[in-house]
Amino acid sequence: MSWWNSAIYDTCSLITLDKLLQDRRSLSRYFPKQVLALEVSLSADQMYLATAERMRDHVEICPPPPLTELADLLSSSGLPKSLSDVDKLVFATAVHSELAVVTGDIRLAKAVRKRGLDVGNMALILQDLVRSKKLESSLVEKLLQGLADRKDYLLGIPNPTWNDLKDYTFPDRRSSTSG
Amino acid sequence: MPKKAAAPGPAPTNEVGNLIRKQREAMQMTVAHLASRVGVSRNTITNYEAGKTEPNASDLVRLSGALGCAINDLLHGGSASIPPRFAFRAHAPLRKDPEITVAARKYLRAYDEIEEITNSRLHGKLRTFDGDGNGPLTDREIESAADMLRQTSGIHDTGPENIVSVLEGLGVRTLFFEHDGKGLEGLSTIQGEMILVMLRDRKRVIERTIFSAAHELGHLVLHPHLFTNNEQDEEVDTKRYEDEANKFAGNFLVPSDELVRIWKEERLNRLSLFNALILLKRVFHVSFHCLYHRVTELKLHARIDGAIFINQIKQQLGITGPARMDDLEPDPLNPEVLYRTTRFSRLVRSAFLQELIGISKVAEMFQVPVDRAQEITSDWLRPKHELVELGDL
Repeated sequence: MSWWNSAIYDTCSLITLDKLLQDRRSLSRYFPKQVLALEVSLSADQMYLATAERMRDHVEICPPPPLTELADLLSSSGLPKSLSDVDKLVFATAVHSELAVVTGDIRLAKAVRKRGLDVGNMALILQDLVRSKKLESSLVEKLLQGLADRKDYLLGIPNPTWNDLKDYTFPDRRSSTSG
Repeated sequence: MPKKAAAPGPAPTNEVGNLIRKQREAMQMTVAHLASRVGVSRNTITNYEAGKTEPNASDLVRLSGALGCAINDLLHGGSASIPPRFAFRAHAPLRKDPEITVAARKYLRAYDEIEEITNSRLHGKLRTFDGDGNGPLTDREIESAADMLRQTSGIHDTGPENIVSVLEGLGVRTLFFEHDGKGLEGLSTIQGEMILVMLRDRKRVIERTIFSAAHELGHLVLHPHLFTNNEQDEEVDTKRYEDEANKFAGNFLVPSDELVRIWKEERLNRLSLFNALILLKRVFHVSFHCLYHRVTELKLHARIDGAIFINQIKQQLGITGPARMDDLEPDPLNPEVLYRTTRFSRLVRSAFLQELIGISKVAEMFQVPVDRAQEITSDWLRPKHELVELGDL
């Protein structure tokens, strides 16, 4: 089973997943029927209403830790101020429930990895699907371009190609190629 | 399903409840207000505060969002942030609108965080007027305070269209906010050492934005006690404070000596008041009404009955029937000329481009959904440009 099947997804990754599924419905076979996420990720503060409505059926709400543990985790982990409150909650939930994390945030990814948990982002999932010969690199290149056209720069560049994704790593360093 | 770890001990129900109440009271929010913002019943909030039931972590995120504080403020009382104090350029009912006070509090927190993350604190301390703070200020005192600040503000060089840069140069953090309702043009707030002015992002009649910025500056300079005294004092003297801040704004934007000089040099007394004000507007780039007040204050022209003056404007503009104030601005400034880039947005953008913060933090700081932040940041990664054919060069 792939690491992302039992992972908790942050808001950013849910939004990217939504776009990918809109572009190519058949991608859903490579993800669990319902991915784990926090209830708050689907709130209007976090996500456009239309995105939340589409994703609701694809999400299984993951319970966050009890308050005492949440307080302990947040105070002892030294999470930076540069992390959003919701991402801090994703971190605490992942640690509490020993879950892998799919996140678009480097800082969250590093904090999770420090706890010995699996972590990655949507780009690594696509890369993995090509390497395991489940998807063609040309299709993934199209998907990446489709995301970029919708202002989702998954690799941080406006014109991503398979070559960019092939060499892409996360969270330690980003692809040095430019679009 | 997620694997559960063993619970480490009893939840600090009473402590969390106390902190929720403390934060709610600091924001002058009723239980009903908070309940409606969180989307729960009043009983639920009352039970949280009494320690009868405990919110779960998701509830806590919603509560912190509704109160404008960080989750940590509801978990660790010791680090709870100091509640901000406000002065509003708004109709009275809006002054206690939790939507506005909470948004302001979130921006204060975001501004403080982005300065820490980028290690770029705003230097420069605003010099306040050294009055006794008890009685009303004289016109002379207000003019003198405005003149003194004008000289050090650089407004003469930047022009009022860059009023944000003027305020920031004086040590006042400034940003724009969206507000659909009527009656709120701007507000100033102080939290600890942090001074923040929030201006409504107007799509037209930016003259009012410029005036609001100067008005808020007036409150900060003339009425520092407004941000520390108890609320009863503020209620009593609201009109006086507003009048004084208006007078300050008029003097700051349209200094007496310059106005008198131009009026005399260009012999504007030979024109109708309407046309004289139109010409002055080309010099000072402020609202027609601001100029009218300045011209009549300085007795360059006799004061006209308000209704008659409005009718004269309507007549000149060819307006028949009722009109909104925004329609009564002759020769309005092009809304595009207002500099809307703030130091706050620059710092957030810079932090994102340096990979110091991610998209979800941008969303939290700008108070927008993560999808929207994705759109904003993609424009930062690929700035707009205009392709010009070589032949056109």
